[in-house]
Amino acid sequence: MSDWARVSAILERGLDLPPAERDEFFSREAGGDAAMLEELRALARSYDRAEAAAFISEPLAAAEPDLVLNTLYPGQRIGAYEILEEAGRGGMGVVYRARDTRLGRDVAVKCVAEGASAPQRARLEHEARMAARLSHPAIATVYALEERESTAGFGETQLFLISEFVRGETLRAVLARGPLARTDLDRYAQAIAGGLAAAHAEGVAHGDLKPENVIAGAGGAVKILDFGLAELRRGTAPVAPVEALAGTPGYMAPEQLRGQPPDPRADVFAFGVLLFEMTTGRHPFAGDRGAMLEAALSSRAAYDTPDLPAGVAAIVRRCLSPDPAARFASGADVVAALGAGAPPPADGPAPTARSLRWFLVHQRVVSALAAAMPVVMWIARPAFGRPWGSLLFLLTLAGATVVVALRLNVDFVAREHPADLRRHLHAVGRRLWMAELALDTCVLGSGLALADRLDWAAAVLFGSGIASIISLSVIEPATTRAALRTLSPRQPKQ
Amino acid sequence: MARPPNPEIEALLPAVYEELRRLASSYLRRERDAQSLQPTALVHEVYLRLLHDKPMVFQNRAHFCAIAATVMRRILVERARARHALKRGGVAPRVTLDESLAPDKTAERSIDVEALDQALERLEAIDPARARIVELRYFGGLSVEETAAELDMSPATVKRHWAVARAWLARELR
Repeated sequence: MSDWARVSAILERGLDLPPAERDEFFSREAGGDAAMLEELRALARSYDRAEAAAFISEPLAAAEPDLVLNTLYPGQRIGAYEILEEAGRGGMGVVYRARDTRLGRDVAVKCVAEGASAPQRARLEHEARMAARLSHPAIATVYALEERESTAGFGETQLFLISEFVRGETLRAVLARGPLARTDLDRYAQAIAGGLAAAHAEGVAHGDLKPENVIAGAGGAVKILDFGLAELRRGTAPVAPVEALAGTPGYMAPEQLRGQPPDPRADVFAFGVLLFEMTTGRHPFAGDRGAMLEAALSSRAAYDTPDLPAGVAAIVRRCLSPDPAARFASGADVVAALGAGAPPPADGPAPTARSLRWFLVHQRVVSALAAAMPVVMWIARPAFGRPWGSLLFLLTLAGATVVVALRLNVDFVAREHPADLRRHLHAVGRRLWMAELALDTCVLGSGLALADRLDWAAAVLFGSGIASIISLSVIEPATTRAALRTLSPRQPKQ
Repeated sequence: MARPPNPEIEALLPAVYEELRRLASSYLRRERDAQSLQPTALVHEVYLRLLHDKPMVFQNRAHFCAIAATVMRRILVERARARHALKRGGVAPRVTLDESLAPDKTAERSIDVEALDQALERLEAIDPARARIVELRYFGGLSVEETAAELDMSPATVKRHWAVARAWLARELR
């Protein structure tokens, strides 16, 4: 392009001049060509911007060294392992999928860069030793730690951690598609808490639990990875911490942020963040890194939100407590809380016959009241005139049938399976509430319509409607609380 | 992957390796915390990449550098693409605390490597000589003097060409 040849030649000379003289130079060189002058000016502005921002002033590999950390190439062999592909990159190294040619299975090979610093090597060794203590279906099994002379020669050695390869995706990738379905949520939460419980039982705290470190296997397995920041504790004294302060903002417990080494309660905190994310698809501490840190430190979390079911909210709240002593003590306690169904025992034990007394009375009285409505409507039917009387009667009958059926069902569960009452109310509560509200609205409206036509029926319907609404909004929550022996069944305040 | 080794390339490898090692160290010379990252990692990779690629005969050092810079460009762009894909997945990098509290250096300095690579391809179409300077300097890590020696130009010419190429690329990436 001869045009560009001219522009670039003029620009080259212009950029050599002091900025003040450039414009005059460009005008002179461009002659009357306005388009060329404009292009010269635009490029000169771009040049100034590039200078100011140090645009490509450093070689790429120097500006972004993590681009060159990768050290293995597909097809390369490390002992019996043939590298197949890069499977992921973590904070400290790269993970490859490799083939164990002796045993004929795929393995994960994690390595730090050739010539890695001593702390990086120490961390990989530490990770291997920590994970090797553990044997649990939710923890990726470590097979070996291998060291070999680098192919590059120069007397360097490279360290490889060989472990179970889990085909699948990280929990982070799963979460990118939104919150988990209820059944998945239970399965994931149970598996992760179970893995933590096993680690804690061995005295190992993970220290860096986050969605990137949980793999959702293609076969349904859920595995915790990366014990690189794990802490081993015997009694209360930490043994051989690798690094004073490391972790991932947004998942670190407040005490971890203040510099304490991770312990099981710090893992419980991270689990709380994970549980919130799995339930809602959002992170509980909104905002950028700084805001996240601040929120975690003050535990000013947005976890009291309507999209969190009451049972999960209670577990999350307990996990995210800024005071470690107020959290579950270890993964085992979390497992127990999760196992008790969506609403955790931490919120209250199973109801007893005594605590259920008023709850049952309430259910039966309200059922009887609902059953009486269609009867009154049937008698009052002629006063509405045709066809309204019949229609309103049928509507009331339908509403009353639904309400009575659901209430009898609740009554049955409360008497026969009191331990399931919490879960059952969580499942049907909303439907019952809507059906009853619809019935009450219908009855109240009918009462108003009958005023001055059939006053006794108007009074009965109107009064029952009001009573039923009060019962729904005030009395029922109270009897439910008494039955479940909790402070509050829905969205308790902090 | 399982391509039979090419004897010609194998014979050249020690020389290639030494050359790449030199080239790679110029990459990292200016890097502040380079002590954890030695040039061998990159060199090693370029070496392997050359080993696996089509038969090539390096006529001379300049020829070798030309190929090496191109290979490095390809590796780095692929890496950047892979990293970008990971970031889209929302990976939260693990950091030590003081790092996390410092302003995010990479965010403000970080460059869209894929976009730059594509812009450079467009520059190649209209101005191969200046594009080549960018490839050698930015992807190959050569200094002005080294670039001048490779291209048989004066350092002053390289500098002037470089300035224009930067202006053009900065406008493209705006």
